[in-house]
Amino acid sequence: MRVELAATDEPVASEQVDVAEIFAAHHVGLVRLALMLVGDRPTAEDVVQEAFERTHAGRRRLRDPAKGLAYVRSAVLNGCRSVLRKRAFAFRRGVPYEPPIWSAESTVLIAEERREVLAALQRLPRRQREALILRYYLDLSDQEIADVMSIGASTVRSTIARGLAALGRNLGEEA
Amino acid sequence: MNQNVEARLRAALGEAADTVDTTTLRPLVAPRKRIVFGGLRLRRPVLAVAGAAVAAVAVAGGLVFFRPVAPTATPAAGTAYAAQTTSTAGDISVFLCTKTSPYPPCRGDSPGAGRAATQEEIKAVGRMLRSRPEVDSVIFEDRQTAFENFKRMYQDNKVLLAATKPDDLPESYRVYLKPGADPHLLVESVQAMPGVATVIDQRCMERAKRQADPAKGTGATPSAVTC
Repeated sequence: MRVELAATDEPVASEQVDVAEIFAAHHVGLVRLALMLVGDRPTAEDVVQEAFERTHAGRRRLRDPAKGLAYVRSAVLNGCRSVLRKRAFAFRRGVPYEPPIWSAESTVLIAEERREVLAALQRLPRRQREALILRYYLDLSDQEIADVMSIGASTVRSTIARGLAALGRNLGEEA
Repeated sequence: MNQNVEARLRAALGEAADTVDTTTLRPLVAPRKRIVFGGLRLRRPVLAVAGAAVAAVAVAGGLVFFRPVAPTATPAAGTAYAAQTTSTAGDISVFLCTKTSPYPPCRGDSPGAGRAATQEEIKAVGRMLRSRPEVDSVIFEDRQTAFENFKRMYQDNKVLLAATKPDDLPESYRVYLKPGADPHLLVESVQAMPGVATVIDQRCMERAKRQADPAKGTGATPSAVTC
């Protein structure tokens, strides 16, 4: 995480980060972000709830109150990664979960053309997928994405460029 | 080319986002308060929750045999008793380990496993309870009293009564708190003491039962509620 966390309970910034307030203001956005990454809504809501608990527990360790939102988004992103990792394992054990929104079995109504794009997005490497979602859904700047994903801003730029190109190839767009 | 991909991606993500509408969003639950204890932050111990859940199952099922292979109904009698003595129970009930107690602190690898709480341990628990500022009064309930209460509670269940001896029931402390006192810290610190099987916050159990009662028809059990 690029967001700096104090190692111990040393005195931090005088103003406390109000995690609950951030969540109240961004709840829908965070659930949607999680939905695009994990694919189904109940899991997305769980991820956000868990991120809320975790960031709330760690709120005193946050040095820079201005980075509260990035901290919370990182927590959601990490939660999604963790869910996907567990699923990869669960899948080997044959445990089913709700079909993701980009699959044809999903009960969520999305136009076929859009579904194709979402499915193509899922075939990208993890970092490209995350960066594209943060850019084209949340409209974050390079620096903001860099903060959330704990990578450099220039890496964000190149990742997005490569991601877009790969997505275009996946979708069969002509160069 | 990229503008086209960008536009399609934006549209797809926007549509995916719109499937989550604000009106049906499951509301966030406030994180449970963590307790600061001597500079050490504790989460609520799993044992207390597990104990309450075991007790709650006993309430829901009326009588649950936890170890059907056991020759007598002893653990079940103990846990059923622990869960149901609400009439004379005080605000907090501290049950002590018996030889057959199924609660995790009395089993497994802990040093006190498989034996009843010693006199020393029982006295230590009593001293600790009486020294707490939030405690109003403490009553020790011995096996014989517990057995009398148990007989009253299960007077209709001849089978269970015949299988139960006073030795099967746990000794306990009945703790009455001062008005407005917060039981959580007390419950956690007592639970951690050696010889303590389970600590039950009776007021929380009452609340849990009340909440569960209207939903009985739908198959909901109080085990969903943790005290």
